[in-house]
Amino acid sequence: MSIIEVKNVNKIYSTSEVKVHAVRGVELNINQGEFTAIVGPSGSGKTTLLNMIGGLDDVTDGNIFVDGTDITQLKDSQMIDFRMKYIGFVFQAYNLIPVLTALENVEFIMSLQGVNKKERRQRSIKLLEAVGLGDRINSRPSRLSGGQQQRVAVARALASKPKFVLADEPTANLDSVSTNTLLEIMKNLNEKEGTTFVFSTHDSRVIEKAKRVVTLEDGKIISDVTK
Amino acid sequence: MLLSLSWKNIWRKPSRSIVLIIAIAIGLTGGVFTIALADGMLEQRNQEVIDQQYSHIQIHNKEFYDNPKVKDSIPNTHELTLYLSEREDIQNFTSRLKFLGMANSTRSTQGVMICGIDPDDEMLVTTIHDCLIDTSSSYLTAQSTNQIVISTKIAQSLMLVTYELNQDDIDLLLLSKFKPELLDKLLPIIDVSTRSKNAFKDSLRKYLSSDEYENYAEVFTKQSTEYKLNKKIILRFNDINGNLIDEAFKIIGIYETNDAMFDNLNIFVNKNYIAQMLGVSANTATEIAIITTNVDNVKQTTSEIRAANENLLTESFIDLDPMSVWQNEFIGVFYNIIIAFILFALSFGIVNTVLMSVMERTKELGMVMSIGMKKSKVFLMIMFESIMVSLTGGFIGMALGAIITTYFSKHGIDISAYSNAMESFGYDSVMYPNLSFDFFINITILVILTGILSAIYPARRALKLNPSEALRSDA
Repeated sequence: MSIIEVKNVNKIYSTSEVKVHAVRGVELNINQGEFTAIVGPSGSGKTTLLNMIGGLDDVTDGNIFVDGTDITQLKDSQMIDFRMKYIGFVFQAYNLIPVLTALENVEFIMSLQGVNKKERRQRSIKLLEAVGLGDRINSRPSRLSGGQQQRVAVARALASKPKFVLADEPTANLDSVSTNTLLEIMKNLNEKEGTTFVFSTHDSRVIEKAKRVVTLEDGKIISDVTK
Repeated sequence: MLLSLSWKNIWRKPSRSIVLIIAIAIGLTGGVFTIALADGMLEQRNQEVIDQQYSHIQIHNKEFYDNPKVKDSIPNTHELTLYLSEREDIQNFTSRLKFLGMANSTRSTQGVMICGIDPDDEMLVTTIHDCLIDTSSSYLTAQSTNQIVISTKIAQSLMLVTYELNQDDIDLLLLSKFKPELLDKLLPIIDVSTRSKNAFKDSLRKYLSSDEYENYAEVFTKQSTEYKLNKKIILRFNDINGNLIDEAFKIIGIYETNDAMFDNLNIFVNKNYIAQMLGVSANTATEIAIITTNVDNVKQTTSEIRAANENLLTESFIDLDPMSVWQNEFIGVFYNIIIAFILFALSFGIVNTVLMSVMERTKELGMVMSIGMKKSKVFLMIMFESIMVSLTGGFIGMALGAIITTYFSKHGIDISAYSNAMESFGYDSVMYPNLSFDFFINITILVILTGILSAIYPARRALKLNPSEALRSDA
């Protein structure tokens, strides 16, 4: 069953001088439980496509259905609620809130959802243990390595019980050890919990672990391979 | 969690927040203390007016103010005093025989308000007995006959004063830390007596430099002033039948309040004695002055007495001194304006700090909006940050202001050491700052408003961020 359906989506960035056609007529279905890598060279449109699937960027034309809802028709305020409910985000630069501890960072999105304190604490601890940071729950981001911060970001992305996780180049700032650890964790969550992951990358180590690889070039899908 | 996050956000750059908090605290400490000082002076002045002149309530014949004379006395004084005695909200009252007359010394004449008082009752209602200035002054007693207490102003006007510096005065000035070399300049005028203040000042001008004269002439003049106690003056007034009466009175006391107008007019004699001179009974009164048990209920008590005695003029000190009420109300508004100006100036600092904090967090704000934080919550978070930083500074400022105010309200600020001239102009040289709890509530509301208003611009900037663009930014 498709959780994400991208139908003939185009994205054109216009400035007063030039028009950049970042995504051209992309058609893509992603099913529940997939572990999909969107790959391609810099400027191929990976991040733009991910942003549009996450509702962070508007499409120029075309439609994107998430769990049956056409998100291109949602208003800004509806989109914010939708993102909180359906999508988990992992960013390249981790983007944790520096004044909060690892535990509080994970709890944050649940507090936005109105989850009670006891429940969000228990779930946050469980998630941090799942990403191997059970002993660092009270550390602030500045006290954690890049790999550890990205693992907190994964735990945070899962905290809201999203339908899928969008990860934009999650390993771009990590060394090989941290990359392997993170990928193992994501893969485990995918295999054991059935969590759907869609991530952009041009890291060959990540591409190797992906079950499905969608390749973009100049904004078009040039290959879509399921291993 | 939003409040906790806002509080933590304030401390991202502790030094920046601390500088802002210190600025707010200093601004408000200064504002609070300045206002407490002004309020204390006003309160002191109002209390003195009540203690020395108006009491809480006064009752007169309705005709009294047109031309104060004995004929316009309060009818049925006996019944009225019984009625007042039975009221539980009245602590003390005294009846007076007040009327206009002339005071004559051998050298001068002046129109005066002759106040016939019952000295024992009067002491329970006013504090004129505490305003006697000379150690050899004494107050009237129930047995006083032709004795009189007059003010320094009237004594000067009747030329019952001499100006003479003697060795005792010099010794006292030395004890008051005046420099010996300055006092040495006064040697030529020691033990030289004059009846004219101007003549004495002329002699000071002759021996002192212009700066010294400017700074110390009033102090030396005051020290040299000697009132002629036990001298007699003649009071001239009409008795109940319109006959002109001249009666000699011996000055037994000299008083001075901080109200020159009051001092220029009022002299005090024994009511029983003056009643005999006037040809009226000892019960006759033209004025009854009342002290209530609770000054806050004075309006209620006044209206009740007024309703029970419709033929009389019953007025509270608020009616008698409307200026002080107006001053109180005006000054209340004025205080809030001062604080509002201080906070307005500080708001630029708050806007700047909050705006910097927002601009430095562009990426983070993009992230929180991406993961589902509503714009209203982003707005609230920034608003809370601004309010919290303002309130932190505000509370520290108010606490420091309150501590300083409390300390000086107990110990007073003696400004005579810095400004000798102040005292000689009749101002109280010890100031007691004072502030009400209501005022602190007003400041808290103003601080919160400042926080809210200061947050609007930075918060709007944050709301205009596009999450995906914000995520791509460097900050």
